[in-house]
Amino acid sequence: MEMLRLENIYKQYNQGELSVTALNNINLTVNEGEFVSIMGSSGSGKSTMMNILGCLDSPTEGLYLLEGEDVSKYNDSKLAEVRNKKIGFVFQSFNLLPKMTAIENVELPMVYSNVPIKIRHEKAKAALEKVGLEKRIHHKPNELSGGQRQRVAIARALVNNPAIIMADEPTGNLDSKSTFEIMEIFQRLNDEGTTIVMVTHEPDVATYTKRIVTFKDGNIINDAPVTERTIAGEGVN
Amino acid sequence: MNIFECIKSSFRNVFSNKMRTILTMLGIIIGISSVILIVSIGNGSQAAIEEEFESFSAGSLNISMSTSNDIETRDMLTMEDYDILKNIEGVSYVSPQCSGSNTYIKLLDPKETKSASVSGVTSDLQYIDNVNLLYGRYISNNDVDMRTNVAVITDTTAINVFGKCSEDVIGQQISLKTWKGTTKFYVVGIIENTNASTETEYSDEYPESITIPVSTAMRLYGVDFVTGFTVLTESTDNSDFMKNIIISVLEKEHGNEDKYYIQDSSEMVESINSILSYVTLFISFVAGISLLVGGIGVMNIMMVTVTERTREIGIRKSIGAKNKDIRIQFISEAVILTGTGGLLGLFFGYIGALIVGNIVNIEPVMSITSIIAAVGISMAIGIIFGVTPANKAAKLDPIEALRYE
Ligand SMILES: Nc1ncnc2c1ncn2[C@@H]1O[C@H](COP(=O)(O)OP(=O)(O)O)[C@@H](O)[C@H]1O
Ligand SMILES: [Mg+2]
Repeated sequence: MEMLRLENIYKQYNQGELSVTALNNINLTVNEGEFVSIMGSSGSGKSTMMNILGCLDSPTEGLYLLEGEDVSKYNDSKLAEVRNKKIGFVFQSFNLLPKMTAIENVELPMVYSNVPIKIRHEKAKAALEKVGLEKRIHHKPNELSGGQRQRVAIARALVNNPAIIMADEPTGNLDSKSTFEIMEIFQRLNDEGTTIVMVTHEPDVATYTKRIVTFKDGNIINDAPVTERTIAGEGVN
Repeated sequence: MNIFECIKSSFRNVFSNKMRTILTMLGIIIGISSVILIVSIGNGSQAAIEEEFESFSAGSLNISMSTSNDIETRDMLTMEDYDILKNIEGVSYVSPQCSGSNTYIKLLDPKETKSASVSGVTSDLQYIDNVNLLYGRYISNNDVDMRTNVAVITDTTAINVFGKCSEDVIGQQISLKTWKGTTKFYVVGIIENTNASTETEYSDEYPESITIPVSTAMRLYGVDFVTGFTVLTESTDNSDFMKNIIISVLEKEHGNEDKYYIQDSSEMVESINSILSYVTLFISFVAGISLLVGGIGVMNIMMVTVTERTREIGIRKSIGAKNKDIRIQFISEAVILTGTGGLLGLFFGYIGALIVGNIVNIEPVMSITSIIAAVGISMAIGIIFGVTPANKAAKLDPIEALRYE
């Protein structure tokens, strides 16, 4: 089943008289249950692509269908709703609220969708258990390691049962051990049916995924399945 | 995001930086507490003044010489005027007023004297002033006719002079010292001191007030005119009409113009109240400026807060906060900030009013209206000055906000 489809997507940035084309006629389809990595050199348009896929930004031109819904012309308020219900973000720099505990951070998306407090606690706890942090629910981000913080962020991304998880260089700030842990979680979530799109510039991280889309200067120059996939679950010591 | 959730999280954000919060609230605290202080002291003194004037019957008129014009001997008010006023239709009671200066009364300790305010009156004054006779009798017509050396004193004077206020004081003598020498008066009555509500028993500010027959007073001070008259009319509805009649009768008698002036007791209360409300208004205006400055301070800090929390705003938006949610969050933080400031201002204002009231001897009166107004105004300041920063926060672009370091 088709999860999302991009048709002739353009994104232009206007800086005074200078106009930068960050995305140049992108066509891409991602089906349910896929695990896609987006690669490419710096400045090739990966983050711009993620922002549009994640409904943080709208394309200058083109069609974006998310679960069959055309979101490319949505206004701010509608986009916020889509982000809340259908998308889970994982960022390179974790982006947790520093004054809140792990569970409060995980609860936050549900606060904006008016989930009653009791259900919120239960769901947040379950999400934290899923990423192996059941013993750290009352810790603040600065009391957690980088890998643990990213796991809190994943729990937060998961908690509203999104259609898709968008991860922009989720392992960019992590050591290899933590990277391994995060990829293990992603693979497990994907096995359970979660669709994931992940930006990375590390080829070995990309091998954990099922498909690699390569960008260059705002164009897709390669789109191929991963032939020799690394499976994190088997490598756990 | 529901409103309860929003308020809870706003409280948390506002009080996470206590020092800054308190400094920001200071302007509001000062503004609200000064308004509360002034209004409650103002209301308190208004109540005290009204209580004081309750002793006057409504509709009593005070006739005196006007101060602006040069006064000749023929203009002076005399006892003949008294006889004329008595017979005007619509006048119930008239009492002349004859008061002299530089009079002293001997106190209990024979070496001590205190200044006395002596009024020469007729028996009618007891009805005009609504006196409350505690012991003995008031000045009688016979006293006035015979120029007897009798006096009616107040309960506080009785205590100051005789050390007690009882039946025993009646028939005893007080000594009044004027430039002519010392004169002894028999105390025939003790009345309640109506100033007692604003005056402590130890207060030396107020002279002892002594009431004696008008004829005796004229002899005591060696004058053949009186200071003025107090008149009680039969009805209070036509006081302007009565004032005109009295003035024209007096002017006809003396053959002059614009020499007399009549003050209405109810008018007096009104004029004092209006002065008081001007003072209150002025100080409230000053306090209003301090609230304005406080509000600008709040806006300034909220602007800084929005900038500092740009990344937080980006995070909240990325997980589904709408512009509206962000706007409400920051407005509610501003309202909590100023509302708490208002409550603290209320508290400190009331404490201040109690302290000031204790010094100037006025019981502060704090009304529900002023409490509601104080909290309401301070919360309104939060909304007014919180809107701009909140809009700034709401309009932030999520991608740029997330990139903010
Ligand atoms: N807000 C922006 N304003 C102007 N140019 C931008 C903006 N964001 C990205 N770009 C430009 O778009 C291109 C793609 O950037 P980006 O998507 O961030 O690349 P990547 O994530 O692959 O490094 C770059 O040339 C970058 O300079
Ligand atoms: Mg990037």
